[in-house]
Amino acid sequence: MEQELIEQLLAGEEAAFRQIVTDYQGIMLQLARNIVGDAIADEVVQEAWVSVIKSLKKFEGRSSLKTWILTIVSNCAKTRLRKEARSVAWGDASDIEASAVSPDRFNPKGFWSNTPGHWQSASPEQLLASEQLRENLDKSLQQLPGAQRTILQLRDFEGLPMDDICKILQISESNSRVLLHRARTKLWQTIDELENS
Amino acid sequence: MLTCKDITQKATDYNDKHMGLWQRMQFKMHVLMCHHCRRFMHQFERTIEMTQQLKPSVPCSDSSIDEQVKRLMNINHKP
Ligand SMILES: [Zn+2]
Repeated sequence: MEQELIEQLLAGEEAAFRQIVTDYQGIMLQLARNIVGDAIADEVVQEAWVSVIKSLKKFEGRSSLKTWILTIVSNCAKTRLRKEARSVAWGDASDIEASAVSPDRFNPKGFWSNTPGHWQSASPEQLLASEQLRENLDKSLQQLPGAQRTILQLRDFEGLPMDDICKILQISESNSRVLLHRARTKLWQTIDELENS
Repeated sequence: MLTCKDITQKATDYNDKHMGLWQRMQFKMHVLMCHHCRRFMHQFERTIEMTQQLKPSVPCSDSSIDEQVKRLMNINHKP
C-alpha cells in the first residue's frame, strides 16, 4: 500500500501528493510546534517536506511512512534547536523524578496522606463534557515542557508504539517513559484538583 | 512491599505492560489491598482514555492543502 503511494509520488501524481499532505501535514506541524515552538514550526515543516520529497527514493519501508516522515520532522526541528543553541538536553529526563504526584501527598513511609479524592464524573466522556475541565486541561497541556508534550502527542493522541516514538525523537525508551508518565500524571492532577475543589 | 508512592511512579509502566511478571504481581497485590491506590489507578487509566480523545486537530484549509501540494510537486520536479 505505502509502496504504491511512494511510486505514485515518484511518478508525480497529484492525487498522491494530495493524500500525503492531507494525511501528514497536521501531525507534522503539531510535532514541529512541540519541539521548536509555534514561531518557526511552519518553516521547519517546509524544510522537512523538502527532505521527505527528495529522499522518497530511499524510503525502504522498514518503518511506516508516518514514522519515517515524523523522524525527518524531528531531525529538522532538532537541527534548528541546535543552531539556535536551544537544544540543551531536550528530552533528558534524568533530572526529574519519575512521578509528578506531589511528594507532600505521601507520609514519610510512602503511603498516601492526602489521598486521591472521589471524582464526580464517571466516564472520560462525562469528564470532557465539562468546559472548565477542558480549559484547565488545555492550560496544563500548554504548560508541559516540550518533550513531555511531544511524547504525549505521539503516544496518546496518535497512538504510536513506544519503539517508533524513540526512533522519531532519538531518545532512550527509559527517558521517554519517564516523560510520558510525568505528562500523564500532570493531567491526572489537573482533573483531581478540579474534581475536588 | 511497594508503597503508594511507588504505585504512582510505576502506573504508566503497569498500564503499558512494561513490567516483569514479579513486579506486576507486587503491583497488583498492593492495588488489591489499598483502596486509595485502587482509586488512583482507576482515575489514572481514565485520564489516559480521556487524553486519547483530547487529540487537538491542526486545522488545514483546502486552500492551504492546494498550496502545499503545488509546492511539493515543484520540489519533485527539480533535480
Ligand atoms: Zn497504596
